[in-house]
Amino acid sequence: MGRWVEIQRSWHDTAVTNCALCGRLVPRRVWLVEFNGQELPFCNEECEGMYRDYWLPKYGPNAESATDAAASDS
Amino acid sequence: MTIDTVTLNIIHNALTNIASEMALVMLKTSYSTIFNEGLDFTTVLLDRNGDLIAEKNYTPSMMGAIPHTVKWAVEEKGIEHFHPGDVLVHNDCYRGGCHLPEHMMMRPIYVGEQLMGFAGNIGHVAEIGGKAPGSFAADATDIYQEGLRLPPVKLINRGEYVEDVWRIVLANHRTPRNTWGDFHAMIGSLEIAERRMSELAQRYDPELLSQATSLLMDYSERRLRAEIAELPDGEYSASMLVEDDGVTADPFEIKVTIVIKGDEIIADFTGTSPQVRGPMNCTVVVVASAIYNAVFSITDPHSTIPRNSGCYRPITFIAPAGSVVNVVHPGPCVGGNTDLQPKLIDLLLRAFSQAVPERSAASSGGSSSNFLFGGVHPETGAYYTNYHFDGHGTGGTARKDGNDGEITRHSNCRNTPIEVFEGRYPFRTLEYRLQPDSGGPGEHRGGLSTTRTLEVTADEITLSCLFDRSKIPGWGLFGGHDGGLSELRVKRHGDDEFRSFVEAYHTVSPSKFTNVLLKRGDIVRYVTPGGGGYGDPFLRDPEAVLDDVRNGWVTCKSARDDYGVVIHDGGYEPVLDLNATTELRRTRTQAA
Repeated sequence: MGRWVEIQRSWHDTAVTNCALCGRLVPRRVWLVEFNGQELPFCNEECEGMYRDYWLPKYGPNAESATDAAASDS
Repeated sequence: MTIDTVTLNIIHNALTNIASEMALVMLKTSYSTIFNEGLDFTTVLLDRNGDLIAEKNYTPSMMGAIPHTVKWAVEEKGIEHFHPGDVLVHNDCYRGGCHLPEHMMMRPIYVGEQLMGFAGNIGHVAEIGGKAPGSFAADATDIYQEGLRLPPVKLINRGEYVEDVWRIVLANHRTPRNTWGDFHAMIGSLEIAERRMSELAQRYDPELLSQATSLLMDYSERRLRAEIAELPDGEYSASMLVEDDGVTADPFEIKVTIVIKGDEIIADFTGTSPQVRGPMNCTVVVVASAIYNAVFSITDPHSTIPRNSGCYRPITFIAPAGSVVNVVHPGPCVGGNTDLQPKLIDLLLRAFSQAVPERSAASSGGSSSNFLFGGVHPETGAYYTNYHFDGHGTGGTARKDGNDGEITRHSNCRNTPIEVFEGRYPFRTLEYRLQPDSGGPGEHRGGLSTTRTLEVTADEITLSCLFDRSKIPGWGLFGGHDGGLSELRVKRHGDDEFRSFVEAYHTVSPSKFTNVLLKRGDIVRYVTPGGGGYGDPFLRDPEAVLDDVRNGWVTCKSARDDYGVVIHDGGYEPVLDLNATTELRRTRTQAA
């Protein structure tokens, strides 16, 4: 379950936040979601959903390609 | 409130015409040739949420920045930050900039007390400081070498100059007079937008205008979704190597997977190389531009869908931060916009070619061939700089040959006429022509590149170049051949032959270098890269090959070797030997 957080930065802080999925700038309000003990910043729920439904199955630790590679190694 | 179709069309055209008039103001009042000759800028109108409602897009390379940059600046600063008469500027690559030279300016538009929307523009400011005159350091290793970076700051506050910001900017640009003129051209275009929008709001109720723009966005979304739904569902992948980053000689890799599912598209760059040391990284809005450009080329090549935020909704992308397609601080990125972006479009079209081969294209030359120089002008004694680009060939398609000498696959800019170029800068143009045989052979030939030869007429000129495809050519498609390579050579005064810049100046890259000192009488010759061919060149109509030979675009040797077409040099008029051609093609096909 994620939560909306207002990014609080002083005017002299030059850092920026990028979405953990699409890479876009997240200028002010960030959608934070915990995955495996780490809180990831997303643009919104849509990016989180795509991360969960598209990116993780394709590239994550349990991805099909990773499973195939492990199977062929054995 | 209901809006009939006629009124909706009138409002759409009115908004588009305002964006066009904004562009005209920039063209007519700017100082630099990159604006008034090159047209390297875009003007936009946005609603009060920062969503795009109309544009005059001379430069598709800014397409990705348009729906993001103004909106992000508004979100970051907060709407309470803006007042009537404000103008805000920024060129921060990590906040939605394309690269440092491209500055975004925006102005809130009020009707009475009510915020109606924003006017914005993005323009390539020709000189913004940094280590190289012309602000294109091809060997930059961080953003600070590329010029002055401005986060979103006000240039004008409630109608008054913010003098401290102007002083900082003008003190850090090499040609402050040009910056003053070009910045005011941008500000003037915003002022005309405000005036025209106020007039429109007198004719139509602002709430009706707001509703109309919302309907137009929905319409564009529906239209694009319908086009995408016609494409075959599936995953289509492609990858390419880029020859170097200007700092090391090592190539790097770009990977993309396009997912078409129903009426939506995902462009996924996962697996692409981490960002490189040199300035060939691109920003997230640049990769967005490449994606939108490729998708619109496939789905709406004649631009019949109104370009507003609605038509970006069905397209999502993944550009991992810290990769070469989404640079993070402090990575440099000036060449990512000009020389990676066209190659990203080509790569996306290559992936799309698996789904819709008849709508795709072979690779373009993929480079803006950036040629930057500066010094003290011998006639005026004034310091000058210039950012100059040149045309490459675009790729052949299923329907036609590639375009010759186009600036470029992604920027759609104009070349600078020789008369203007020589009138302003101390070079003499010895040669400017299309380069024979530079278009990749194919049933539809790749577009030809250009050659330019320039002699230095000042005591000294400091030259920087950021070219590409001097080692890895643009690819052909479906049996078409690769396009021609780029080449940069110099004949120093007193020398009797042209040499590469690696030989003459010991640069790391033959195509990317910074601050080479040219002397009076030195001659520089460059060839830009050509486009790849589409389809088997043996299927090209021999008469079309004969036309190419007549025009000097293809040599008799290439006609024979690459197209299997025998053409005799008949004095003034080349002659096609149809029988010999049929026989040659037959034997060559059998041998293959």
